[in-house]
Amino acid sequence: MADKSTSLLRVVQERAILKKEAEEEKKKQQENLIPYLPRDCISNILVRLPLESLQRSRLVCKPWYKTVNSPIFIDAHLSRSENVLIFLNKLTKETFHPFSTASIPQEKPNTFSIEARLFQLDAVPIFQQPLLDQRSKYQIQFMEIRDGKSKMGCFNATCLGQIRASCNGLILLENKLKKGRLVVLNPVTRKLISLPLGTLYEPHDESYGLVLCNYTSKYKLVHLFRDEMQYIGCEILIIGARSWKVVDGPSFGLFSWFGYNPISAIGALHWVPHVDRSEYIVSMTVDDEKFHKKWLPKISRTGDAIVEMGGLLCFVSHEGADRIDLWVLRSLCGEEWAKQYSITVGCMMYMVPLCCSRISGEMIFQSSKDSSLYAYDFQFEDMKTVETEEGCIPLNDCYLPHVNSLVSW
Amino acid sequence: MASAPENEKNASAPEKKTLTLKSMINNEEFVVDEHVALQSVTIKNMVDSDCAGDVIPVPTISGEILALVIEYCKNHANPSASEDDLKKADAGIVAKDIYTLIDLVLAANFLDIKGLLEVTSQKIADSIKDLPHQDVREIFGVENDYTPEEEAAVRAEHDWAFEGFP
Repeated sequence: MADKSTSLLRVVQERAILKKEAEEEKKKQQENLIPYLPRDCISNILVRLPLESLQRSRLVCKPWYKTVNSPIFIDAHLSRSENVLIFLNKLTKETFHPFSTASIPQEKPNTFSIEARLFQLDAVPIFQQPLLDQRSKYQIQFMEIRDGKSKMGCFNATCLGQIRASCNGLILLENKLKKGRLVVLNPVTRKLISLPLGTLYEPHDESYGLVLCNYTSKYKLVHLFRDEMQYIGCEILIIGARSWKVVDGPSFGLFSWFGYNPISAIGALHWVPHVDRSEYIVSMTVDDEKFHKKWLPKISRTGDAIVEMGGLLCFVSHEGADRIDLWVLRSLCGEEWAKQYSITVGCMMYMVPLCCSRISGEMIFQSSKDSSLYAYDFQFEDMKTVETEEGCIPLNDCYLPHVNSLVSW
Repeated sequence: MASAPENEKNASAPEKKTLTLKSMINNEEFVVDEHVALQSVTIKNMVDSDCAGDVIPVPTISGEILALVIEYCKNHANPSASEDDLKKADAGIVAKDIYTLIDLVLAANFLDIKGLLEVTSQKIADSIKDLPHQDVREIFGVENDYTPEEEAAVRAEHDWAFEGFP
């Protein structure tokens, strides 16, 4: 009896082992069935992920990390990414410590402080660090606008200085730790570089433009400034280089106002040089760093502006109270402005164009009266008021066109 | 000389030229109109360079996946299909589980069908975008080649993207 039961037990045990083995074998086979995807396929999938998912996908494995970091991928991702508006927002009471004098922020543990990072980079000893007024700290945020609706996004990053320029996902920030110093930052990757000191001028007497030179694939920072004699000087820094280079500025008298940010399009940076009644724009071709004067098809008034539209330069001009005309310039060489489109729905005199979306085909306007935003949809020929979240008040009501990308210098 | 009715038959014959695609995984065969099959750049190149016999063997693609590919090609070869119809039909084709989608993306890549590659890649991206990276690893059968220290470093680099994720 005992023999029989032990042999039975053995049979049962053996069967169990066999079954387990078979199951494992099956599982192994299933795993082996997962096909190997070529790198192109992976890249083609990853490029479609929203930004946060894309950043998380770096953790899957090293080959994926490399894929996401490759220049080809970064370019493909940039060309698929939609324009957003970047802005600074005062920190709310909850995250702000009124009695804190420490230079290192004490908000969420994840918060990235530009100044704290700069301290690290420069290795400034603690006792030499200036006391910074934490109350003037800003949160870097962005707003996506689609179909007339807005969605807020946050980089979980703070800074003390203002944003002076933006290009392809890089922003130019003031470095409040050292007078006159500037920083270039990609808020997505948090990569930043402290720039060498350039010529110091008051903000109303200077203008910064960040632009990609297609010829060298380098980013150039163009700095225009006006001296006491009203001469306009120009210096250019290649991001990553050690020193600024002085170049010939625009001709005497071309500029009277630096309040309008330059626009990058058709291989040049373009400024509207007068606060009102500009008959021309001033352009600097990026490759040869030469300045040109280009006549506008109509005089540019205060509510008019130039924007980049699908790579082309677009002059947005109010025609009376209820029409906005869009003029397009395809090239600085021998081309003339062509009237491309007229917006006849929902136009108002105080609407100032901010930017044109890259993919969805909308033009975003900001009211010069109350700073509210409007989106015009070219497909449905419809102007919508953009609803923004409560409590979201950008510093100086200033939004800059931006794109969330992985680009570097 | 051939009679008139026979002539008509001959005239309509070239339009209905067909190709046979054969899955090398389970030997399933599909007879498709040539203009449908030619949406695949790979097949087009074979036909153009006279490399295509009567039966075109398709390696590494199962009959099930090949049927989906052919459905896509048929839809897009139909000149009277509206953009909306095609969008709906595409959505139907990619409404599959993630493993089928991965097979489909491989097939689209091998056969070089740009549109199918795009909709399938988009669908895969939509399916994995909210998953933790551990699940993504499993789906793609990828081995974690990070050391715990390296993993922590990459995570710290992009910590804002990991809020609410293990």
